[in-house]
Amino acid sequence: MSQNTAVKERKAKPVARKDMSKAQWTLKEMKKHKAGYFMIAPFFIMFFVFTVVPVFLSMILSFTSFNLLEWPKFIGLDNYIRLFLDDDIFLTAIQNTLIFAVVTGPVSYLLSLFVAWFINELPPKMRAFVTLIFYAPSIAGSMYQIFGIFFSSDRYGYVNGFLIEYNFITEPIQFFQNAQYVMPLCIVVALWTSLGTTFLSFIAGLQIVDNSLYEAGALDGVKNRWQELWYITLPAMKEQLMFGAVMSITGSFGFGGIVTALAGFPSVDYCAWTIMHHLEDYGGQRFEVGYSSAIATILFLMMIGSNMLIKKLLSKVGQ
Amino acid sequence: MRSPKTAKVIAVILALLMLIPAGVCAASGTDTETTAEKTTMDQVKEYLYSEDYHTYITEMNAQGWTDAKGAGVTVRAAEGYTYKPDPDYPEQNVEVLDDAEMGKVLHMPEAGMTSWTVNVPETGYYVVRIQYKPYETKSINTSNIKREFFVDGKAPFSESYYYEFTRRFVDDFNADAKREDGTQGFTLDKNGNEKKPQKTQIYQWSESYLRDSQGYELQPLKYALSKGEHTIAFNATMNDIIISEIYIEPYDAPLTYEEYLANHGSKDASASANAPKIQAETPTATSDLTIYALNDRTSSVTEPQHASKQLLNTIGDSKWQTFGQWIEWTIPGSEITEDGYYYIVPRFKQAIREGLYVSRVLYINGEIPFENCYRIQFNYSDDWQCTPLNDGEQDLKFWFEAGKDYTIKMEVGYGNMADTLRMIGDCISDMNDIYRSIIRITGPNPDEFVSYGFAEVIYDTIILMRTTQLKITDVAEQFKKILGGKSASDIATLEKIAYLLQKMSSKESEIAKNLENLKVNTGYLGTWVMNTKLQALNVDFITLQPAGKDAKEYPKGNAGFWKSLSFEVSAFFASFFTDYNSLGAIEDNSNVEPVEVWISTSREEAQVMRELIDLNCPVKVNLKLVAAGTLLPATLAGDGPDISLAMGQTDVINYAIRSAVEPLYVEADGADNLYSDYLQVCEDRFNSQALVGLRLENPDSPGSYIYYGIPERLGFSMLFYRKDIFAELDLEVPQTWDDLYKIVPTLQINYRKIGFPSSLGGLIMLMYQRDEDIYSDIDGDGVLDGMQINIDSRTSLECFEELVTLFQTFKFPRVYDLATYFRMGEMPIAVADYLTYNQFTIYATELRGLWEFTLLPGTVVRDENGKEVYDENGKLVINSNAPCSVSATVLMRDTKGRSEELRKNCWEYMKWWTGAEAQSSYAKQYEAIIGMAAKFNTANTEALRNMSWTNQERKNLEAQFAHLKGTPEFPGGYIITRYVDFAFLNCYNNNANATDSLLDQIQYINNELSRKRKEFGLITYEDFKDQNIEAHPEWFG
Repeated sequence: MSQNTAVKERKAKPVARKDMSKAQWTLKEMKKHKAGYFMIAPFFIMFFVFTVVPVFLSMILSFTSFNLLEWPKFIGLDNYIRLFLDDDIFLTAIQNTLIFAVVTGPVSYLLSLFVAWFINELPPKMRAFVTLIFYAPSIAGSMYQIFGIFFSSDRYGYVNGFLIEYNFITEPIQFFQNAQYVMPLCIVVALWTSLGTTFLSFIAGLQIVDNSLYEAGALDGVKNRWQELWYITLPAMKEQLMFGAVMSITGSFGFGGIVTALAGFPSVDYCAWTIMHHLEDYGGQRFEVGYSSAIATILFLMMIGSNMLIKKLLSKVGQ
Repeated sequence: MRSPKTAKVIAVILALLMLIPAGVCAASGTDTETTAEKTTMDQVKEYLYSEDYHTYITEMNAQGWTDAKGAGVTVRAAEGYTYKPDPDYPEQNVEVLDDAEMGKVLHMPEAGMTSWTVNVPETGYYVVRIQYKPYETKSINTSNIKREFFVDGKAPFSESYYYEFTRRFVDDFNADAKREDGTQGFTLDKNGNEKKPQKTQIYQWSESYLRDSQGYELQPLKYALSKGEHTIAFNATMNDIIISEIYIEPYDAPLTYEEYLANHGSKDASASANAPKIQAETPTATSDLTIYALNDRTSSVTEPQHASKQLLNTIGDSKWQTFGQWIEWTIPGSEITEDGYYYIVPRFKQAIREGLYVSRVLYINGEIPFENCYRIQFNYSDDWQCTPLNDGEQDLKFWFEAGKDYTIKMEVGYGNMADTLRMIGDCISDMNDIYRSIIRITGPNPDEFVSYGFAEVIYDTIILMRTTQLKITDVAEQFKKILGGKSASDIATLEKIAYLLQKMSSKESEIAKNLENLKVNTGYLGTWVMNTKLQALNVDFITLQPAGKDAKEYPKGNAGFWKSLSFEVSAFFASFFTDYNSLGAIEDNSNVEPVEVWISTSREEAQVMRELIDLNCPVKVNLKLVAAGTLLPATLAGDGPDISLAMGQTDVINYAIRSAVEPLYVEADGADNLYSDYLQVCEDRFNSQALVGLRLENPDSPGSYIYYGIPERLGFSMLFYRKDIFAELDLEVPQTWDDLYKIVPTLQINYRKIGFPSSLGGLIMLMYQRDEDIYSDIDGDGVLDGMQINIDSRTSLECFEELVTLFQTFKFPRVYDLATYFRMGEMPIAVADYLTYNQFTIYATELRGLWEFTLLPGTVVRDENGKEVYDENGKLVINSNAPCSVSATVLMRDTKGRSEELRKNCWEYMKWWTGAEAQSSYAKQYEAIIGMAAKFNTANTEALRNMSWTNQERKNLEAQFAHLKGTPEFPGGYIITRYVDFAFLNCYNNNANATDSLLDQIQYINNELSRKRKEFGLITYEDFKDQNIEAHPEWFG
């Protein structure tokens, strides 16, 4: 290519993809679809400023010692080293978080799916009503407090009252202050409150499955409802499954608030201490934002990892 | 149940004491000592078993007593008195003063008993009236004066323990501020809103009968006195008073309405006579500091009214709702043009007691014109009303004469409901007795299938159930009559309870089954009585309308539809242009930079604060109400305030070690302290322990401190106990732990519980009582270093073991709802923050006089040989330390470069706000927010003393005040609570060994302390040890 032609080309407006660098092409495409970009801009700006930037900021902060009130000091990998090698409680936290995630994540996911599937069989009006009943606990934000009353530690809590009245025990059991009971109780509460958005999205997903597919399936030899579910319904609602899975994961990894409300902060002997708690503890109580950023980063990576895993698993649906 | 023998003994002792001249008594210290000791529980019993006035008068009537005839006796207070000082306040004494009006008068101090001998001329009932004025003391004292009244050494009925005398407050109106119509107005702020004037107390002679301070009896209380010599005595419970004369006279009952009308003839003022009108928001005087002009925006015709500006146009509302509070107005004689009858027509709003009415007692020129004035009623309506004063049956007319000035005083009373309220109150205490006597047999969770044999064991209680049931049915009937068939729900509750009691008393098996129900209903009834006793009334103006005028020509209560609409619309648009956040700052054109102060409590509290600042703060202040939690991000962004209020001590130190809070005083040689008077100010104002949590050791000058913040509130625990239950079980209030252990079995046999803080709270209390600190002091220089925790010392471990024993062996409950347990008597003794006082005073009014807070049980101090130690008076030395914690006013980090002047002003502001005057005013205003008699835990010793405590309360409070110990704060201190709690729960849940459990956690705590110290560049234990192990091996034993 001679120099002349190169100059010429620079002057002429490039048209084809191959004539442009990637940035140029993107810019051009953006100009072409500016209406779309314009419409997404408000959300994107918000999302970027308040979600993406903080995530990166927190990753940066995780390499510093920062006490919220004074300028951060760069300390390299110290936070991570301490986190994995010198923090027993963090290991407890990881263990508990995984227990929560493994028990409540899949269980609540499957529960949502099946409840949605069953409800979907109901006549439309009835369905709307039953949906509301199942969804209600997650609308009313602090409904789980009712468990605090049931399992209250004084003798007037329902369970203690009942047990004392019928002479099973003489002194009230400290349900939420006894390492023996805290974890199982919290898991039960978590399951109870988990029928939320996931469940609703499944209901929506089930309704978009085209009926003609079922007819075709019947002709092609689907033998029972399970096969119908596996080969037709689920593959047709993969997007909803994905959405539900993401919600479940974030839900089960970010589990902490309910434990704090029921079992106090910290729960006795750190028995229901999750990563969220660890993060709150260092960020809020000990003013060690650098360290808690490191924790957040780990949590973030764990979530991304399990997200990818779920994606893999979901791709197997219907096969 | 009653013990007439003890009562008699006490009566004799007291009577004897009264005969001994004051000087002799004061001189012999031992004498007073013995009586003081005797009086603890015996006096309580005497009080508890004294009957109420209603029973007393019924009994006396049955014995044939009648009103005395003749003139009665007048006692000159300054003559022939005997004064017996209170052993706890030996410095208090009576004094005779010369008064310009009254001649020789007697000043009775806030403690001690003053008595006189009187010669009663005739046997019969007498009432007592006194001429008094409040005594002007140095400190600002605004609460009612309280006295007990004894006849022949004893109170014939329980009401006699509670006489109250009101004070008199006037507004300092700005004489230049006139409204458009020429009437008195208010000073305006920079937005054109009217500002409340300051109130001053005036010390003026007034007269008062001794009357029931609960308001259940409308008329003065009668004492049955036989002919001959008697001693009468006033025993001080609260505040000083000056008395000139005491009148003991037969009761001169007010006229009946018919008599009143007959006395004044039949001339109605003609329709053309002038109708004087006075704006209620400018009263002549009020009984309380907290009754002040308010802004009403609910009606467009409230006078005066403005769409955007806040004009003070009404008075009363919830500030004027408790018995005895009064407001007085003056009608100038010049406005009354004709003699004759007038109706008094106020424009008022009573939108609180739905279906009921509120009552007022009306005085004209200080007297009740006729009997119906005891029972003026204001009916319920959502809207403003403008109707003549009436007694529920008829509108009442009053005789006014042309050209004469009249004062009209309206006082909160219960009118027709008084008797009903009294009876319901009685029923509640009966129901409490019933409940308690049942749980004494069954415990709080009875088994309904067990036959307890109630009929044999508590036959009395079953009879009581029956009589209570009849009483309640009676009350319900009476109540129906009062309501005239309206609002059945209140009656339904009463009927339900009556039915419940009937069921329980007729069938034994129903008792256990319905116990819980009884408890719930008792609580419900208590709340109901408490609410009904609040008689709020809002008044806009008061007019006199000639009786000859047609009622249609009276002012209207409400605006027409169009007028209201135009007001609402203009108010709506005006709201866009009004600044509601400025919290009513006054106009100030000077160039002084204001001190920026952030407060994060409620809006009401912020407003009170603003008012105080406007009244007398020496510097210019910009007060902002912010949401809690704003401070940290704002400070981070360099946009924080100059001063932040009420920051807890943990936060103060947390901020301080990260240099977000500025030190106020650095204790070191040659330190340049701008606020050099800091230590002096703190020493004058606060308990010395209040500073412990606000300082850090100066790293540059070991053994001295850097101080952050100035104490604002000080919290600590005290011992609350139910006097009635202690008397019933015949127990003494424990002064030491050994005493407590002695009474635990008795309490537990009777199914009573003991409230005690678990975990760190309990541990620290026990440790502090043995003078053990929670942090180490390795080099032994007396300054705690915070490098290590000290709860693994021998003494500390013993304390922890003792604590665990309380919960493991004695089964103290770890979690409990104190308010309910205490109210029902299930937990008659509990260690709790002393502000729990508010909860019990305001929400459990039926417990009045039945409980008390007192010094914590303490640990007996022992010398090296394990012998008890006695002080110079031969009294056992007990260490009753309570841990205390402070919250402080702090100076925030300087990000914008404060000028020298601003820095000085910040300090001026802090000094002003934590000073006795501002704190006392705030404490008084606080009552208006939280409720009558509410206290707030100011750190200022003088302000705390000045609050309206009774003598006994103050005495106990001061005793505890002398036994406080502050907890220092160090980096990493937050971790202690957590691990001690783990250790405690391990013992509690799993019956683990106390020492082992606690020792297991020590390592974690110390690690965290060292880690945090390293973060802040402070020397850690490990480094310190390395440096000093050779020079001082003994430090590291």
